[in-house]
Amino acid sequence: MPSDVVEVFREFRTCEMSTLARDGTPITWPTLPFWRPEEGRFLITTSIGLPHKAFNVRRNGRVSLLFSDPTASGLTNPPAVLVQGDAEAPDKVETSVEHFKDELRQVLQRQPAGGMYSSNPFTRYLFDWYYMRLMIHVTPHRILWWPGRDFKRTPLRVEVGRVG
Amino acid sequence: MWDEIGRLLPGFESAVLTGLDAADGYPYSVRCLPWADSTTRVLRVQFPAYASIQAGPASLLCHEHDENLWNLRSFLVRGTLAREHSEWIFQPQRFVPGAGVEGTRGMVRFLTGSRRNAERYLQRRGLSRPRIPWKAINEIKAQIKEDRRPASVPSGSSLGRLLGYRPEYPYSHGGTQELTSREEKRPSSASGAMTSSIVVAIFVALITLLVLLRRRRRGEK
Repeated sequence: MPSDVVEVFREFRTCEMSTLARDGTPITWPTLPFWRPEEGRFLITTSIGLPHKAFNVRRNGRVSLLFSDPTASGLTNPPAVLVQGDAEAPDKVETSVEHFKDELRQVLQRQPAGGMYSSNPFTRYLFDWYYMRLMIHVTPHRILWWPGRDFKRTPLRVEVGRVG
Repeated sequence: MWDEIGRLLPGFESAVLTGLDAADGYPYSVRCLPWADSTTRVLRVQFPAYASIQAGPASLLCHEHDENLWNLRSFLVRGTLAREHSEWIFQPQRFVPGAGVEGTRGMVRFLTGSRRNAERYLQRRGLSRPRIPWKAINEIKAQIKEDRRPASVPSGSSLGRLLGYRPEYPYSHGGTQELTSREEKRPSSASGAMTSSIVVAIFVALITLLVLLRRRRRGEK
């Protein structure tokens, strides 16, 4: 993988994740992606208060992640990257931060105001559901990227066997 | 629905259009500049020739956040995509509000809806409400606070202000910054706590009022 594509995976704050609804409509929402190069896949998490993307993945594992908004990434003229992949979303509610410390630390660094969810008893009562998480693992099937985020150009691409 | 789209769409620089890949059915997204045709109430989009998106179900997402990944705004439109000569036509079918586009009412609806979803998720699986390791989470927050000197405070989070939150360890890309004179003049923690209590009380009253109004409406039906 080109280094500028890997930088996008590491530094972009959000990506636009698409899952397929029951009727086949692709549903896209911004989410926080965590690239795990040692596993060759992405980790996405969602709260059980917002479980629809996990439900969609359990019905149909085909998903995509578009990295097209470089806001706050600190990167100069990064490419836009589209990852098409296969996702799994086990039906297990995670609350422990033991195996998720690096990601949680990254979220709290990048989104400092998100710290309010745990800042006092009242917000902890209101937002406890936010910390009840479902894990979604996305294994890339195909990666396309547009240098300079120029969507008018034909994207470059790599198929899954060469991802890493 | 069309009024919502017409009101919100101009507030975003671009949109993410997602259809299905003609090759194998995976979702395929591109950034685009949709043009709202108010006569026919469709969105018109120019696609590059390479895009292998097939006609059929599609969605359009607009979203943005600031440098501190806050002040989130988003909405989604579900619909269908069809080809018409050299351009594509997105026919909106359903507007789905996301974060920050429906004011306080939307925020309360999001909060109560998410809590209800979580309760339902647990109930259907016979699970009790799990305990959250607040201590471990706050330890990570404290470590971040130690690692960083205060930088610029994220601006204008309506949710944060309503809940009386004051960021303790702001982060901005590219390293730490000195406090500005304006930030140094922020209220002391004592007056801040008082303000927090007042806004929290108002927030609780607001939620209670909404719940009572909803119950009353249901009773009338």
